[in-house]
Amino acid sequence: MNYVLHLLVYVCIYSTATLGLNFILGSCGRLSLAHGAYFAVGCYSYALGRVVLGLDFAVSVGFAAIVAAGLSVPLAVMGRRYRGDFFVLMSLAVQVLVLSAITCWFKPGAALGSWSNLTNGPFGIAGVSGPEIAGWRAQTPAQAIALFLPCLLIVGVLSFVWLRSPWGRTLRALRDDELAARGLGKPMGRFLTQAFALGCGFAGIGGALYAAYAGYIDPSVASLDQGVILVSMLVVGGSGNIRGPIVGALIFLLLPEVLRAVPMAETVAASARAFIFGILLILVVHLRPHGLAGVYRVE
Amino acid sequence: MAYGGHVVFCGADAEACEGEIVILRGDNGSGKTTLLNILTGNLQPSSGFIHLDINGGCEMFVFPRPFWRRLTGLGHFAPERLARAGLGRSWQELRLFRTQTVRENLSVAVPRQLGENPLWPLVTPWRVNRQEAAILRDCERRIAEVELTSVLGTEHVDSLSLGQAKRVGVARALNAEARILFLDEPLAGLDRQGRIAIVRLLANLVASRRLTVFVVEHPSNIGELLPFATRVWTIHDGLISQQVGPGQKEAHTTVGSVVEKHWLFGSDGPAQDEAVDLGAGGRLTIARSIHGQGQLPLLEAREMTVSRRGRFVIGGSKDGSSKSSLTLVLRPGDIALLEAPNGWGKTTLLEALAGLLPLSSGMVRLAGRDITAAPPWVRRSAGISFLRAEFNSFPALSVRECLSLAGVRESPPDLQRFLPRRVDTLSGGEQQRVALAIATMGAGCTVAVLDEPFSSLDAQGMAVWRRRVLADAQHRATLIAVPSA
Repeated sequence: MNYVLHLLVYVCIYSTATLGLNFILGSCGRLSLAHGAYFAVGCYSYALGRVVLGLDFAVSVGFAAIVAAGLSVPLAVMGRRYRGDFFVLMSLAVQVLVLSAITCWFKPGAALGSWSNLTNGPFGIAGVSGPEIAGWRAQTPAQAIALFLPCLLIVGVLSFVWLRSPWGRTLRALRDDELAARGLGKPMGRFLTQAFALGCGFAGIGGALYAAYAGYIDPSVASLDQGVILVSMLVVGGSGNIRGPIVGALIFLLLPEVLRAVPMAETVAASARAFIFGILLILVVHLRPHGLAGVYRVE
Repeated sequence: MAYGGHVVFCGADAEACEGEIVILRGDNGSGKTTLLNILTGNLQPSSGFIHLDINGGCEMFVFPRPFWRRLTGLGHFAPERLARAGLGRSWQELRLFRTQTVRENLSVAVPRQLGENPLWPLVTPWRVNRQEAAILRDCERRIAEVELTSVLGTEHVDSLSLGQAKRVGVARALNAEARILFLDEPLAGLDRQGRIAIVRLLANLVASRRLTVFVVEHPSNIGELLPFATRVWTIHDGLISQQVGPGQKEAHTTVGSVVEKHWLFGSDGPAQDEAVDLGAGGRLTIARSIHGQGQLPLLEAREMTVSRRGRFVIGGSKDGSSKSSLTLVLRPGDIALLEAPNGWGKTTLLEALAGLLPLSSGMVRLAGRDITAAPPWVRRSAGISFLRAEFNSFPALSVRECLSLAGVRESPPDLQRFLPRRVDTLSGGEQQRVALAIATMGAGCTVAVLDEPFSSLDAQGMAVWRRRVLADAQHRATLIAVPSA
């Protein structure tokens, strides 16, 4: 039971991040591989906020969201000029830059959080304080869920309100036909910047929750794998509404556990799981491009 | 203004006033669409200046833009800037928002919406909702203005007919509070009923709202607009000449996307004419040649029915008049003209003949060989050449490459000057000429199936093409589909 709750914590974390990607890929139509990088920015911002600045849990999460949203501006500027293949390459560049910055921004002997050692490099940041509210600290997975689920709910409600608002409608119009929407007077740059900021902000929140739960982070949270997993969750689950990202996160996190019930040699198990993920992605894209629960077909 | 190295405009200037209908006309390649794109901000001229004077606020854009303006994007000459100043446009290829309903298409266009700032739906949702309700009421009024109340609830804009979709496009531009409307070929591809509706709509709009409307149209479609025009800008050789007052109705404007049989078949007429009523407004006229009378049929389509998404498009019976399955026999030298209103299924029929759509029943034979199940490339090598109504050439290739891809041995004289240029740098009419050359002059073409081949051509282009078709007619069968008169 504890293990299931542990998984649900991760579902909360990744759903939050995928809801952010929904704005970038679903509403703006731009495939970003850098979402994992912003997830990591959130992790590190939370960790530094807690360890170095000594901020509260909620304030640190907010701090992580703001930093991630702020760093999304270069990506948004590139998103104005490029769509499709070029944008994917640009986002890959951002991903690599963030990973390098996190891995290399350290100096042995310097204090964490100082200008010469912002991230502790490959050693990572340990002892990140967990989730707590008004002095009460969450010790077990069940208690963590009690704090994370409201976060997910808030993010979900915000997504829902924004997707259905005139803002979401204009964003979808810009995605469908940019020239026509601009010909109606819609400033594309402004909408894109806002969408990227909100999307990356949610990724930052997800990262912060991850750092809070895991207690230790290192540069591997910024790997390309994270970005690919988030994109796969959104594509398989579906984009354009709030159900899709959550369904995607559930599938990708619970499916390996279901597969554990299938007897296979331990040496093969991990590769088999990755193989099955790949097959699942191909099948969904081929047979149901809308994703299992989404409304928008990712072109 | 130079386009791909080819100078389009040089020292052009003209003017227009409020409440006017201005027609921009010119031959293929004269620069009508280029001028439209410049005036709506989609294209920047190579040099010159644009002086905008809207409601007293003046603004001047000088070209070419200095590098610091290009870098920072301030004072940017962009479509959204001009749209907010009141310049709206409709597009030749429609550009409706395909994942949204008709209502959403119209609502999106309204400027200065509170809800477009993500802060307000969170903080003051009631104000946003109130504004949304007002916007919806306005949309209903606007849709009633373009006489399309019945489609307001439509879920998918793809299910609208071409005429309805064009009117939704105009309504959308009006919703964006456009005071000056630029319409790019509003009559293209419409049948007679659709064209009358659009012309009437424009006249009403100008009269009731004092809009200024600029219409770009091909000479072949202009005839119906000329009586309403207050000014005509004729673009020729990079300059614009103006005529105030309705222009002269030219003799050749009777020929156009709606082709008259007599023009096509010529006074040195065919041996016999066959007219078949296909139901639901479709009519097939076949000019049989003497030469082909005794010969084996080149193209035989028997009892064809085609369905799309479960619905019979060709064959089966439609409500009202029944459209029975189609039988068509063409011998060498025959020219068949299919005239039908929009939505009848002309494109579906032609695509089924070309192999792009499967037949639900029936049989197609080419020179005795059964090709009912053959894929399109086999049909092409067997001799059926198909010209689509849109997306019918390769934009990234040069004209020479396109012609050699199609196996055209000798490039036609009227395309000689375009040979090294990329297809996407040519104007609409010039691209159509290239596409026609690919479809009709390709290697081994014995049956030419052409979907609305005249849609962008000017008088000269049509004359050239007619000469070519009649010259080659003896050995080939031709099937042409056009919107009905």
